[in-house]
Amino acid sequence: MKQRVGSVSLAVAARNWTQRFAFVLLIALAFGIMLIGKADTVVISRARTVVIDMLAPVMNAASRPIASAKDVASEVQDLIALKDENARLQRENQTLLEWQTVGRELQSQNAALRELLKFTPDPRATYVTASVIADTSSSYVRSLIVLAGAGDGVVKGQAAITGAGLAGRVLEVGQRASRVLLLTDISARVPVIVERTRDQAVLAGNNSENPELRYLPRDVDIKVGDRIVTSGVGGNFPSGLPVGEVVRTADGRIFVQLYAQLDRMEYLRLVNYSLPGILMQDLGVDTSKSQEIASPSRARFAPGVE
Amino acid sequence: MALRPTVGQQLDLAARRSIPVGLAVLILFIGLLPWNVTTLSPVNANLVLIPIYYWTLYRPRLMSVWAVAALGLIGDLLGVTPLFGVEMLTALVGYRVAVSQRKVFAGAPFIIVWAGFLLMSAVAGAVQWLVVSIFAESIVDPRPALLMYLIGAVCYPLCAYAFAAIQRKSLVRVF
Repeated sequence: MKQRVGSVSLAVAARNWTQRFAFVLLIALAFGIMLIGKADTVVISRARTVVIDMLAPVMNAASRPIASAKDVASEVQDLIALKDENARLQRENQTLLEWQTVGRELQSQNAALRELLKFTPDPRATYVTASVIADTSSSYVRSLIVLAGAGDGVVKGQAAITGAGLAGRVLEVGQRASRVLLLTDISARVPVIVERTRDQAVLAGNNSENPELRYLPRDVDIKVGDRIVTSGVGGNFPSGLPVGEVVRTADGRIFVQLYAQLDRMEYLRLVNYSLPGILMQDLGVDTSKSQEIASPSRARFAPGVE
Repeated sequence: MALRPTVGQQLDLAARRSIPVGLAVLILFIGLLPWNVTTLSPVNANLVLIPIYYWTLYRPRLMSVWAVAALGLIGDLLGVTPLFGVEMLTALVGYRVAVSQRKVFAGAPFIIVWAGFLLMSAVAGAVQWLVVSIFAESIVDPRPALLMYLIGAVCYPLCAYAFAAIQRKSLVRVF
């Protein structure tokens, strides 16, 4: 009996020891992985895209019911607000009709002036519309996964926009799915310009809802409500994409409210402006692919602004 | 004489034994679905600590250190952390705290067990914040992590209730 108790306690001790050894080993492994990830981002990036590609169909299926539930909820909200909404839209329609007249005049004037100057138009933009299938945001990261990849013509560095404005850029591209880094992520940096004063700045994400304007000239006069658009510096995004407006200034820091509602994104447009920017070339991505865009069944392509 | 279990019984047992880890994977995925609520989006990383804590207390052999490391690695592969490997480390640290306090918390009243989870996720969250800050070479804003911690704290009773029901139904004699 004594012997048996002894052997049992020995077995327990051996098991505990193995567990402890495994724990230390795995902790070391975690640190090792971190160091590798810090030094060589290509390997990690590939591993992540493979996993995202594999899980894309499952995530897509799972995200459908949520999208439907949200649709129902928003329809109910819409019904409640119908009357006010109608009045607002009528007012807005009136204003827009006036703008339409102005726009037509300017368009013809612009065409005439371009003809005079022999102006070369910007390259035509093409875009892929992709549904958001996963929200991989956490305390330290703000990113999404969309159901469109290299097979649909998505290229690293493309701008991700909603109808309202810029939302982020394509960070990793898999065959079927891609990761989009949002403007609110702490590592997101976009060259922008203050529309009214034409001051250049960098919009820096800070993991909060309101990214910050940095590197502005010292004596700049920024007011709440100033529109911020992309400046096109760096060549990743074209100039003039709407980004957001200044929402508050505190202790010399300027915060921006984005036009894109990052909490309500079901679809994103990944836009290819065919600009040879730095982001497309790093990590060994073949930039020539951006020109060859096939037309898959689930993604829509259309010419953008000329 | 003990009867040898049939193939069916063995499969049944294997399926039951995989419930804790399966639930943890499920929770990881649920956190990743596009709920599209900005304030709640940092939910995922902390929620996976709930099944790790619960099953380490009540079915420690079904939530092994290897399974915990694998769960963390899945989180890393899905990209919930800025640096690959951070989620794995967080899960392991949380697991270690749970194992060390197992004798205190297992069998204790619910409120004590809950407090144990708060302790465990606080340690894991603090380690995560520290490692992220060290690798980012700057002090990273801890407020989102704090929010994540609070969400985890609120979610724990709900998840624990569901796990307890599953445990009573499917894991009564499975250890």
